[in-house]
Amino acid sequence: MSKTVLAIPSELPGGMDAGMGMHFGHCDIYTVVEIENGAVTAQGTLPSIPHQQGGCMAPVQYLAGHGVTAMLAGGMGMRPLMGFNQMHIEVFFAGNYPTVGQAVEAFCAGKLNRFSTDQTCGGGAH
Amino acid sequence: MRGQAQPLLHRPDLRRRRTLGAAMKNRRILLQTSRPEAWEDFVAQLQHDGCTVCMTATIDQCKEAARRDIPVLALLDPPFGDLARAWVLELMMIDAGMHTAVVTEMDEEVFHDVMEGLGILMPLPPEPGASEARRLLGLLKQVESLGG
Repeated sequence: MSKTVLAIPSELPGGMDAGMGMHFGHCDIYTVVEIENGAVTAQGTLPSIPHQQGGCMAPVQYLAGHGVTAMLAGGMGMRPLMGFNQMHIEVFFAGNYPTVGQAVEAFCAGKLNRFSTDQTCGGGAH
Repeated sequence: MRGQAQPLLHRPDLRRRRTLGAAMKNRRILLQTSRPEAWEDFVAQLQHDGCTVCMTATIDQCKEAARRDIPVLALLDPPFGDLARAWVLELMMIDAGMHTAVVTEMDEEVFHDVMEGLGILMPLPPEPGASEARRLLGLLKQVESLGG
């Protein structure tokens, strides 16, 4: 069975009813859900970690260390996106879903696209 | 949502240990510059603080050295400011865990805007000295202490 451990940057208190945290590196908390065969089989939250200029990889390492295999995000910089890619953690764009639950449903239904480099924050466009 | 939600965290089977390259563990620093004389004080301070500094003249040599052995930090001294973002991206494609600092004459706010999302530790002046080296190493230690 293929299992996905999905992390979603969230507003407090996290969970399916919480709002999406629109920038993964500055979110309040992460909602983490486990998905098997298109169904959510487990869910929980992870506290976010402090962010510092130049420390973009800290949350990447942190989420990888917690077994995350895929990520939903509304906003992300180029460096962490590359970091996730290099660690084989897939990132999907979910910036147009207001709540975590709606974003997870869209993921399960296969409606989300891969987060592209064009969608990253940077170069004065954000 | 379908499925019965169960507590997810604290399950050791879901925890994996992965890190990007060796960047977080060493004190090897790559310096790309065609003006080594401008870096003498800076490099001397890094070496005084226990760093190994490998100097390359071009970005291609820098990338080649990074591929051979991922440094903890790469310092870039591009001849034109508008090359900086592209050069940092090229290094990120080798290993996003590599920290960077870039020489620029841009105002700090403009620099931050132009380089947003690349996680550059700090901009460096065209003739960086010992104080900039100390500040940079301090930032590096802070970032590493947070797991980045």
